[in-house]
Amino acid sequence: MKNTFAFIAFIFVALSANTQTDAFTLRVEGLGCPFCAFGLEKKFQDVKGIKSLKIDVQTGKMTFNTPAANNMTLADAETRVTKAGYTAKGVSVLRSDGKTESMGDVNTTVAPVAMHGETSKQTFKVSGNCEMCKTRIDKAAKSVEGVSKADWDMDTKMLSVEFDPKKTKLADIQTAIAKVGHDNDGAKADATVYDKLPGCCQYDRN
Amino acid sequence: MLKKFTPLLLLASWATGVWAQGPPITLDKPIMLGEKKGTIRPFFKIADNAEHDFTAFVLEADYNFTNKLAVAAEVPLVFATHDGQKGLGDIGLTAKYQFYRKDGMGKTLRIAAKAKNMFRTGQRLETPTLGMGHNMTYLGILAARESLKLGTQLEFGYAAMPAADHLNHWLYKLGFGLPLFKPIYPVNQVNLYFEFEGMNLPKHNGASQYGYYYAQGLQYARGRYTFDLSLQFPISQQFHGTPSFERKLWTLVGARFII
Repeated sequence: MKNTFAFIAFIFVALSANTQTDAFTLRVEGLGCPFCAFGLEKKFQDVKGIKSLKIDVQTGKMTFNTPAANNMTLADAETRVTKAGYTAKGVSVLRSDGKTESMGDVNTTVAPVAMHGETSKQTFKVSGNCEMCKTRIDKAAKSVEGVSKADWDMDTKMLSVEFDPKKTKLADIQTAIAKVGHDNDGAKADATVYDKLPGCCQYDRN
Repeated sequence: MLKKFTPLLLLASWATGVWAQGPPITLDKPIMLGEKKGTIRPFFKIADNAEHDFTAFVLEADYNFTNKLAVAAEVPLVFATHDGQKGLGDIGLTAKYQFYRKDGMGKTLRIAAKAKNMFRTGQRLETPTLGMGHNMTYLGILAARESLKLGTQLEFGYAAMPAADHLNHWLYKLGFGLPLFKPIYPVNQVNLYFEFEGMNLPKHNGASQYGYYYAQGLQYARGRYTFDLSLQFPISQQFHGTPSFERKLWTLVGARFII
């Protein structure tokens, strides 16, 4: 009986090890057209057990999962991008054990190109703590002409914005948010403005 | 004529917002889709010329040894010729080396050197593809500025035939691509191409010899397949010494498969 339990436990551990995956996110430069993504994808196709490979040519974001047993490193992923003929600006991985590793700049989202009459959707990190911060951040973003939607998530600290790329650009929105005291991926707030924020809103700047 | 059309087409391309979406049809490209990968491209070239009409089935294949070095071969099988003969056209071998690359988010600038040799395997009629009757060496530069907003392809080079100086010529090409749908991956796209070609041969009895052509292309791309159709016609041409170079209408129809 004891042996049977041990055997079942062994099978369970073995199976769960097989299903554990590392989730990679890459920011790739040089994808000037959808065909470019072919060369990139093909360079990753021989990674054993690779799944859910997605490439967004408009943002340069590439994501995929590999079995943790592959022990794929950030450098491995970067090398594959280079061999495909493109530039990896940043690579990050969420390991199966919950640890994250990153190199380069993978977080900065980039402006997807909008067709005529379309809005551009962007997400970027904005520092803040509370509901007051949310009100201030959303308001600052919406105050920029051309911004139709702004929604800051208090838990993830990510701000989602929608704007008309003909009327404004991402950098202008980020500057407007920094001006009201909130550091973000594109701009840093002045110390004097930050100091004037209510105590509950003074996020950790380190 | 050329002066009349070119600014208008450039303006139209700019005004509609030119996006580069796929491989150009009548131009070569400096962008290589990854190390140890390649493309097979079978197509028909239907040439309505001033002198020697022909139809050719051309098989092109390229292979990227590295992400910067590619080789390509083209084998034309000609038939429906003006004199009823069929067989091989001039076979070509090409090597390209990409020596400059600057990547940005959603855009790239690439420049490559190109060397091509056409072998005298076809008829001896001084007619491109069908048979020049001489070995030809071509050296050129390819450049592409591709982005999701604007795409431009350029080629510039010189073709030399040591055994026939009068056929040496400068060749220059300029192309723009315009997608009709938003760029997505996996690819599902219909693209329009606006491609220009020019060539200059040595003067003949003091008169310039040149040809300027415009090609209107249509491309459907889905997944790893691409289907091309291009109609090329002269804007202006003058070949007093080599009338076999004169084109009336070149139709190119074929496909591409990325391996």
